Amino acid sequence: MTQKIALAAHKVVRDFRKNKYRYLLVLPVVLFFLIFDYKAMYGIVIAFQKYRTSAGISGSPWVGLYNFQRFFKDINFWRVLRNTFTISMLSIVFAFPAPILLALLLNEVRNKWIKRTVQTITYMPHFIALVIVCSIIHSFCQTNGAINDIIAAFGGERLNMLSIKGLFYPIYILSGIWQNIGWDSIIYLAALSGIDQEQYEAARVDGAGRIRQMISITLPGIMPTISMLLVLKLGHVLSVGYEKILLLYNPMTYEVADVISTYVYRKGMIDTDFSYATAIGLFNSVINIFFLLTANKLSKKMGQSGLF
Amino acid sequence: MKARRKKIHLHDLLMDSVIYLILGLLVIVTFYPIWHVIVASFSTSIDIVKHPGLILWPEHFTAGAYRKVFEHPLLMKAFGNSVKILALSLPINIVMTLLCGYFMSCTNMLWKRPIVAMIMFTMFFSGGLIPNFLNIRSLGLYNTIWALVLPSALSVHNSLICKTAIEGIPDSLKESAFIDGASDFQVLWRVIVPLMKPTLAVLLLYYGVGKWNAWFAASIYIKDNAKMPIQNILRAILLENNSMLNQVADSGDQFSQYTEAIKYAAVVVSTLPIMCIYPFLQKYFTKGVMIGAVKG
Amino acid sequence: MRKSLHKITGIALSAAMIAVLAGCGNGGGAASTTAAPQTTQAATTAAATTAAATTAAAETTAAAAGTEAAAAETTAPAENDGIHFTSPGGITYPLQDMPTLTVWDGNNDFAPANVYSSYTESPFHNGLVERTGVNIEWQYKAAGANTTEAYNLLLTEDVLPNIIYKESWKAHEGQQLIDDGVIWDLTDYLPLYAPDYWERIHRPEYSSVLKTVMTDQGRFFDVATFNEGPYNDVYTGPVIRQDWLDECGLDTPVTMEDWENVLVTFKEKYNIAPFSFLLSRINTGGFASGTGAYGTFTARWYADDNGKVQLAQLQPEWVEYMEWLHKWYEMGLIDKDSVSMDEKAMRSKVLNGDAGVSLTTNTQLTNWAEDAATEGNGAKWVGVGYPRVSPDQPVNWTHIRARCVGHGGVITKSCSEEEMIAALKWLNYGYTDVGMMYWNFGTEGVSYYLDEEGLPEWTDQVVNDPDGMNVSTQKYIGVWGTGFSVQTERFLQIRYTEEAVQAIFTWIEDSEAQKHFIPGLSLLEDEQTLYNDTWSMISSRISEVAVQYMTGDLSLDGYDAFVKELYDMGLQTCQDIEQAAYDRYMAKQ
Repeated sequence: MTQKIALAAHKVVRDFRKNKYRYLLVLPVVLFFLIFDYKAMYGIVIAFQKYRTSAGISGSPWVGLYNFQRFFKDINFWRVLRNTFTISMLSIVFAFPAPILLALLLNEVRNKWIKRTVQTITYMPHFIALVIVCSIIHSFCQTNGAINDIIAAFGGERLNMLSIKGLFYPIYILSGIWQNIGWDSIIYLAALSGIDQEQYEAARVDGAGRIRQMISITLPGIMPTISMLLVLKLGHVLSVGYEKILLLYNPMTYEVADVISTYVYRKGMIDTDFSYATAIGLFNSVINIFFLLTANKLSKKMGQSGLF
Repeated sequence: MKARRKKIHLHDLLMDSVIYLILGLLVIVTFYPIWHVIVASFSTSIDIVKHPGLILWPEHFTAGAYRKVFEHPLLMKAFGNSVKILALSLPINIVMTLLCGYFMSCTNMLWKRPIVAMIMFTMFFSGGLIPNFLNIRSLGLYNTIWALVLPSALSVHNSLICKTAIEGIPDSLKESAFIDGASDFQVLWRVIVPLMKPTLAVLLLYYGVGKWNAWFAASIYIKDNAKMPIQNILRAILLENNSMLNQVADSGDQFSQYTEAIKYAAVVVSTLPIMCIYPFLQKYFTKGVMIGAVKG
Repeated sequence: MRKSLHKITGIALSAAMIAVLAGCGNGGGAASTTAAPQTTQAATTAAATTAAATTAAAETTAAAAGTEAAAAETTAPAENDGIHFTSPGGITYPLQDMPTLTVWDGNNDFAPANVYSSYTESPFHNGLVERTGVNIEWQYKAAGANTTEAYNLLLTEDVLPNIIYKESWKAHEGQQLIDDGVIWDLTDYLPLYAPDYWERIHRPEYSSVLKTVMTDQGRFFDVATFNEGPYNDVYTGPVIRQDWLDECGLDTPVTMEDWENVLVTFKEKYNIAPFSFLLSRINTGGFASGTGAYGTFTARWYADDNGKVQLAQLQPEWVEYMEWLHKWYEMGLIDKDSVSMDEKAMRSKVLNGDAGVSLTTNTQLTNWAEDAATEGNGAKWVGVGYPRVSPDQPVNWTHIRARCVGHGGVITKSCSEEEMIAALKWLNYGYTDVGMMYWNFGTEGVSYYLDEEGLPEWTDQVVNDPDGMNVSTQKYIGVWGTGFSVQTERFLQIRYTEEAVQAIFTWIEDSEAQKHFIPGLSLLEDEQTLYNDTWSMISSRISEVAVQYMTGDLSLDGYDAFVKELYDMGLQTCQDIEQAAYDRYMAKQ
């Protein structure tokens, strides 16, 4: 027994001696998280309370899992959960690859001037306030908007596109791509610049065409970045923001558009219920972590380094 | 060499035209919202209301909205505050992220897993609004610029990007440096940093834009409007009359204090500076930086 | 004491002031003390008046009067300028030797006009200091912050501001804060130190205000801000293109049949779907009164003739109303964009002649009229009365809001008793006739003058201000949103264009809505969570289904099943809670 402890102690000491500078380097990081995150972490307990600000955490009564039960019992629970998943998954399938494709295309452009112009312009919509982007979407989708003008030109019927359930996801996802494709491609462009150019030379000597090079050199070159971002994205599967949905949905599309965050937002408007919001947030986090760990494991199995 | 180039010439041409076509369309589509905002900002409010769909050119060109925006008593001050926040934050952000990313990329350490787990945990759990607020206040940061700098000094997300980039650097380079007797700090500073300039540019952009666009922290941690960053002022202007995001405005009993054009002008004024950063960072995204560095 | 401003404005305006005060129809005796040429004299009269009220009040006031008299001796004798006066309740303004008070404004209702970077530059705020004699340190909600979040963070402070002002106080919430020892229970102090406020909320026309601000235990926790009269109760209603109506040779529609006729004519003549609206506007009152219903798409409680709480969506009249809307939708009379439009899109349709009938607010009507004038398209939008079941019947339901929607200020325990009393006296100012004039119209000769009938009108300085009327009024007045005062009918009437003012008169005509209206009720703590959880499910379900009844995505054949679904979700529980709360509300007096 004592031997075991001594061995363990020895291991710790040896590890520390070997890596002392590394631990020293990470010390500010650890302190940062302790001071700014962990010091306030006790706040999670209000998920199990009926919290009132004027009474504080110490003065508020404990209610166990009551707040969670409230959420599970709500008839909208399954609906908001389903919608949140659907929107997340759709954006992983459609919106996630878009910037990768853009980066690959830009990689093939040899004219430096064109490349920079395309990069700069596609990246700009990211900066426009959501309120304004959604106002543009509204005006485009209206019966007298630009999209309906095109449909009508081909003899189609003018529709209020935002009032149609089946069109909510396409509008949401496509406008998301439109706004963020350039911005999201930047990280891939950075990754692309790290690819060893000699590999291309070698491939060319072997007679590989450009598409072949793209698939066998470029794509694997940015694969670590892709897999990292994908795992992270899966770790936020239940975190669909509320602002854009609030600005785009209406009673006709609640059924497909209402997500957890909009649900919480609406609840908060009726009554500031910090406990309830915290409980739902906790539920989100647990699901998100589950997805993150699974995705991380899968990515490691597929030969990537994973997040941790 | 010459013969081969000729052989794939047709192929190349076809591929290039497809690429240019796609990119051309994308540029048009993504340029439109920018153009829309710029045109609207130089229009009269009534023209914006009148043409809800595509606007291609201001019907009556005017810079009146800009004049109004610059008359806003807090705007220029807020602008200065945002610049100050950025100047204080970015160096701290980059150093912290490098430290965190480097640690996460290291292997063979006894305490790595628990420490990384502790870091990742914060991505999912937080104490919530009120405990965080109490914490900032007890640290004496409330209503100071540091409340907007320090609590967001490090993002786990960006650290992971940094970590992936460090892992992408061939191990041989790091190891040979260690064999030469370099310390961790020297390896990080002399070997890794020069090789990950593109990633550092990305991090700079992410942190810079993130900080510039942040408004929530300031709305909680800052009391005096004179210390507010620009986004909070912009938000106040934009949301003043948006009934979907602002319940108070829904009463419909208020004046539309800011007319349409001013919103757009405010967006242009507040985003143009940060948008201009990118072209300067672009030069770091050129191909083959790595190989050049390795050879040099 | 600052003399600079009233030296400029102090041109013997007392005669005019008396006219206003007399016009207001009360406090005649006090008005004459106001006219007294010397402050000292006014102070004596004040002391005398108060002595009749209560000893405690008299003592304080007398003390104040004493110091004032002393002050008057040392400084130049004050002119009789409408600034120095004693209220009917016996408080003499400006107050003397007052502590500086901090006021937290969670709504930015008291923010200075946006051309000033601080309240210290604002004429209204400076004038208020001068007139009340109390220095106020205003604290505003941070730019871009959310009120409820900001309020909850504020509560964690070790030292709270002296006065906390925010929207939608609920009586139960106030009682809770009293019980938690956060704020002062004002019940015993209000009659003594805010006598004019106390008197006003006890007037019969403000009985709903009294019911709103009194807790179930009969306590008073705040000084509430409220609106004057029927004119302020309604701000949304039906509007129509009068020029089109004239062009088509049609009369103003009254019944649903009339309206349908108008819509059909408009559709044929102008080739548009003429009835265009925002959901948020039709939901408040809509065309419900056309069938005798009480709500449109959002769930709404109302009180029936027997004082029983009912849900609008359960009544046969409502089903009939939905049938009308569905029919109009099918006929292409209702604009399909209505279910998702935002305010800007609506305004654009109006400007481009894509709408002929709508529901909107008087503010928007003003904007529309301005747009039409700028564009010169000849469009003339006017307000029309709510639809009626038959021309000889009154209107059972319109858009309506409570006289007091719950805005108000509470006095926290950061105040000593003395400071609390000072705060009450300061708050009382806006509820005196003189104070009300200042909060509503600013300074006479600067921001307003009195017309031949003795009614306030804006001066040219306000009307022609290059910053625009919105900003220019905000420079001088305090009830722009709501004030520590009563927002008067007259204020609204001179704030808007002629069309907008007329529109409200048509909307409140023959209306019985106030009788059926149930304001936001105060629930007990154990009722609260249960009600919120169940009600949020029910109300979101209703608004979702109701719209689809209109568009035809759901058929009204399924209505019975829908009602059953609502009961399965716990509608009865909600109704019982609402009824109990309503009974408690009605029992207060």
